[in-house]
Amino acid sequence: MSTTAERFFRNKTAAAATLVIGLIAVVAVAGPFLYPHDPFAVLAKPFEPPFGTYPLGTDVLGRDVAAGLIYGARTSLTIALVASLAALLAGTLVGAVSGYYGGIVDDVLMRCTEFFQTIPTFLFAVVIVAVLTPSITSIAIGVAFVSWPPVARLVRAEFMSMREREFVRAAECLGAPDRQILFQHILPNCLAPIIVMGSLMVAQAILLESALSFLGLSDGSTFSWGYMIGAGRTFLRSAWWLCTIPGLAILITVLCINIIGEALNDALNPLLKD
Amino acid sequence: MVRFIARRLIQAIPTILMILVLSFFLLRLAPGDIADVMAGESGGASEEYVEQLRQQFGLDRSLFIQLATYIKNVATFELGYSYRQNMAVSELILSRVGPTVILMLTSFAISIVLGIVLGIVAARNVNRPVDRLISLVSTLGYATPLFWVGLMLILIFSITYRIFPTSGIEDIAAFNEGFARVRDIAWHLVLPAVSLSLFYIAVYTRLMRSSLLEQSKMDYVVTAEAKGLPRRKVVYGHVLRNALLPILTMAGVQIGSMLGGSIIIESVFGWPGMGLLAYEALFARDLNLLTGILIVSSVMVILINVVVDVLYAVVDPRIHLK
Repeated sequence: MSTTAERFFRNKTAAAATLVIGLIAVVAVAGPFLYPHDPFAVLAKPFEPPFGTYPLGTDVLGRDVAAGLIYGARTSLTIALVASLAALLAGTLVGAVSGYYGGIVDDVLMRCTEFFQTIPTFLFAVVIVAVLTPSITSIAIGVAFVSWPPVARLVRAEFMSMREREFVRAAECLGAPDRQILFQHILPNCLAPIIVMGSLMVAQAILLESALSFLGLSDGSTFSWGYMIGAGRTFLRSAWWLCTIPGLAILITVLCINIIGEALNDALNPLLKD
Repeated sequence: MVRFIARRLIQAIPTILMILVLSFFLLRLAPGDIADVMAGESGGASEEYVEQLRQQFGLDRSLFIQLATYIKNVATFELGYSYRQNMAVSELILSRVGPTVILMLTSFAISIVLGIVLGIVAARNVNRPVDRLISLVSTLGYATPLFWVGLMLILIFSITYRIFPTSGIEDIAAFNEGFARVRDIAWHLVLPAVSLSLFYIAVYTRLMRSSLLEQSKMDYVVTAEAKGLPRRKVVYGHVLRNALLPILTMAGVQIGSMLGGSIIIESVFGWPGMGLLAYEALFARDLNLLTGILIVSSVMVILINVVVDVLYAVVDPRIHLK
């Protein structure tokens, strides 16, 4: 029997995707030291094409696109991570309580969850961000708010199947408090699907965040990939790179995270693979 | 049948009420009420004027009464007034529903047909190069931002090759009528519909492939084959019919997300539907209009899901309409 990590890295595509995501993370964290240019500084003539003095060209104000991209990686990834984490926590809590207790608690919580799934996700996020006045925080809140229901449903199903197991019954008989049963006994046993869903959720969160910033829902004082595309779309005719390059960055990041998520799924559930 | 539909519609009422309560509180979350905003616009109005406005809009009443009034108004399709566009919100939305429906129906048709076909091709060639190619393309489709696809299509097909128009729903200067107008609109529809479809083609392709593979392992397939039915009949008569059920469920789930996607696509292509209206409302910070659109689209999603439920029961005789 091989370990999860061994099974994961045997998948060459997944290993490559992990490497790429690692690089993007390094750029996001250490970018400003590796490429010390201010994304807001006006450095050159506007609309310098890529591969000249500036590796990825300059935008309408003559700002360095490469610096914006690096700075944007930080914004996009931070928002996506924070929002996914919040949604994961909220969804796990709702799902755990709902699945373990059942009955009327389950009914009420699941009705709520279904309700939030009925509202068109993106539109809901747009309204939340607009109402809270656009900023990094409100975008993260909006993304988290529309992302938790699928987690809740998944965790609920897992907890329901665990509830009748012997180790849970044993813990109950020993008089363990509910909190301990829920989070120390049952939760560790359903971590695998939650981890997989969490990783796929980060990818969705990046797409959602980029779409919100693309529509202009940011406070304008921060660069993010979606914001760069939104700002560059007016100049699509004269400066193709302003939209194309940040879009490729989003595509590559999301693609790699999706590949990792699926490989994790295969590695964590070796029996499911046909 | 009628009773089934009626029951499902009645079940939808609490959900719709909750949406109204939610949008009411969302509107209240926004900093400053409409009286503040209007007073601010008229340039530093007196306290008295603000109070008068509050009274006029019923903002001085208790929260509960305000909520009740709000629900009563919405129930009679009185979604408030858009102070920016100087028009009733319901009127504004009604005037924009048509283009959105055209865009969504087209994208829905494209994605579901292509998704099913590609899914069948992939499932019938499991692990062969065709299957791998389809899976690669759908993985890409999953990861591509909608708005970026739209922009790239404009860059390639409108700016570089000048095949399709960049934006709008029709050529206003051409004054087309009858069939020429339909053709003109269809021509404008190509790029937005394709951009909106790509992600969903990927979704349906994957689902169709896995659903077909799952069904083909079932016992009834062995029975059908044992009876000596030809392979084609087994696949298209038995397996396919069962494999389509998850697609139907998914279609109901995805319709809301497609409505959200249409905001992005409409704003990229200047397609004058509800999405573009939401985009305009966003820029004008017209929250009345924005929540109005949220309410109308949520109700649309709920109604579509009732339709999906009915269809489900029609397609799957195991579910009885009671």
